[in-house]
Amino acid sequence: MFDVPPPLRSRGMDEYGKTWDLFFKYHKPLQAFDIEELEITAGEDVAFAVAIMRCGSATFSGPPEQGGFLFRLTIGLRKIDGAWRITHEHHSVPADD
Amino acid sequence: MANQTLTTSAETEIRLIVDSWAQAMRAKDAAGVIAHQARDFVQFDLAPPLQTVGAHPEGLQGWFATWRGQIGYEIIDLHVIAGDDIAFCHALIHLTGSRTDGSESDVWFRNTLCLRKTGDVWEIAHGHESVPMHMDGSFRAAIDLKP
Repeated sequence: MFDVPPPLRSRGMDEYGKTWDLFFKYHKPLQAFDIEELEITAGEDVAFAVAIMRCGSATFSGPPEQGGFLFRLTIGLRKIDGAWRITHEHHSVPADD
Repeated sequence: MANQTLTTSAETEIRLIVDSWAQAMRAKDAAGVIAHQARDFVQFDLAPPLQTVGAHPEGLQGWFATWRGQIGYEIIDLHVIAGDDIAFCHALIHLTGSRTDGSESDVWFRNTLCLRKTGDVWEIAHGHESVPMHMDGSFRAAIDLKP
């Protein structure tokens, strides 16, 4: 996974799980991500989804305004034994500098 | 087995496209970069805006003009997941070179490409490039990270 905060990448479920520690440290209950735009392109056993997401204002990372901030999300999926599994996530905000 | 053979062949095709695309980036060849993009290509770029749709050769050319000579554009750890007609791949890119303002660039960033096959041709439908953002309240772009 390529996440919004560092590190550059996380590989495997152990590293992925650790990335949520930072988020939940500042995350208040009942605040969630909103999907603003979503486009899914699916084949028989490989698919990808492209989204614009909103992160709620009640997180440490969000600006103080009610609106939170927008970020980009790309997800890659594979069908494994009949079930779709996410094998790649890329979250980001554009770099201002 | 037949399916496995197809997938392996698709992966080889996609690696060739990624190689060709990266070579066009190094050579500052905007037409070569755009040649692999789908008509409705959606780009999440390193810099704002949040997203762009369609080809923007003038934006690429403007960015190319900020580099002296060839651009160092090394693709590291390319992973390709390919079905018969839908695929995605991800890699780290090491961007290096001299800028026209006299500075030297040396940045690692993340790249995800999503492709679909139209007829016999793989097209890049979506590209997502980014650096992490420091979530320490500063919102600084993390351009100094190394793998």
